[in-house]
Amino acid sequence: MATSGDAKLQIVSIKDMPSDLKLLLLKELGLGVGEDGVITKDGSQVLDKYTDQPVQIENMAIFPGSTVVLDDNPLSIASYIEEYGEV
Amino acid sequence: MGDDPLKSVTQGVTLGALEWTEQKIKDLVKQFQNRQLAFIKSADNIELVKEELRSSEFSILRQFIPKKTKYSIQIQMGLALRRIANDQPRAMELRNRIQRTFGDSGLHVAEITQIGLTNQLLTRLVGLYPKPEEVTNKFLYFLDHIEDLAIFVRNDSVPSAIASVILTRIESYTIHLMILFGSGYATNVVLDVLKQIEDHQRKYVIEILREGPQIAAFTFTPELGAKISHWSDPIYTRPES
Repeated sequence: MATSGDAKLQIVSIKDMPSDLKLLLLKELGLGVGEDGVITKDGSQVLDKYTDQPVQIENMAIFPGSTVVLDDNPLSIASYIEEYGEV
Repeated sequence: MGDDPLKSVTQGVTLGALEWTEQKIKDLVKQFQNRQLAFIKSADNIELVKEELRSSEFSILRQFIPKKTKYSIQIQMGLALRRIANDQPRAMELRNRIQRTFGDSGLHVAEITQIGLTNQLLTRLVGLYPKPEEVTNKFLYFLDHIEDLAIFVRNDSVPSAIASVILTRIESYTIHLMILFGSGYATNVVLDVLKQIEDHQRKYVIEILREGPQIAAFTFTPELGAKISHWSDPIYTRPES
């Protein structure tokens, strides 16, 4: 794992985080994993708010605020930055 | 960035490798809840986006594109496509995602940005319209109608049919300019189209841009062309065959 960031926000790469700890991370954030990817506490599938696609645990990005869970791809990241400001 | 944990990420400073433990996760979640950090898969995508955001090209383009619009994202994605063009699987995945999210028109905005034509279009609009808000309005108008105003010519396209389409649209759309683009064998088709437009009695103004196997042409109505009379002439010189 590597962490980095600027004064605004520290960025933590979870690419190499073990799966069980990714599950713990989601649990700590009130989320979980279902058959088709990340789910909310009530079992609803989490969709990337910018692409409307289901978010998979192995490709997720999680930003603070109201816990924005996205698919980690350039389009979604750019859309997040456009909406919330540079991270 | 890749997988090297010691390489700097975005503009930030590498803080070093951490061991993954349950306690570490809980500590990181606390920081997350205090809005001090974000979790990402890897730095590749965020680094790519930040590079485009800081590029001089996007800095200029964004002055004429309202923030939080689909065009701002599509243009950023076009610049990203250009940067990752040599990584074909990644570029293809991004192209597909742009198309799924924004449709064909959104992909075309990204594509004309990727090949530098958005930039070229803005340069011409700035030359044509003195007020920044006019430039923005015309720029957005063009992007709104990109499916009709930017024609991607294929090597099996029929020149006379394309010329006819251009002659109709350039008069009926209020921006009165169109872009043609072709690559490889389609280059000759583009030149044939331009020859037919050049021969028209209206005397349309044509400017050709060539780069490697690609050709792009801006076509203007004569009235619009008159506004850009500071351009050198003749603007269009048919290459020797």
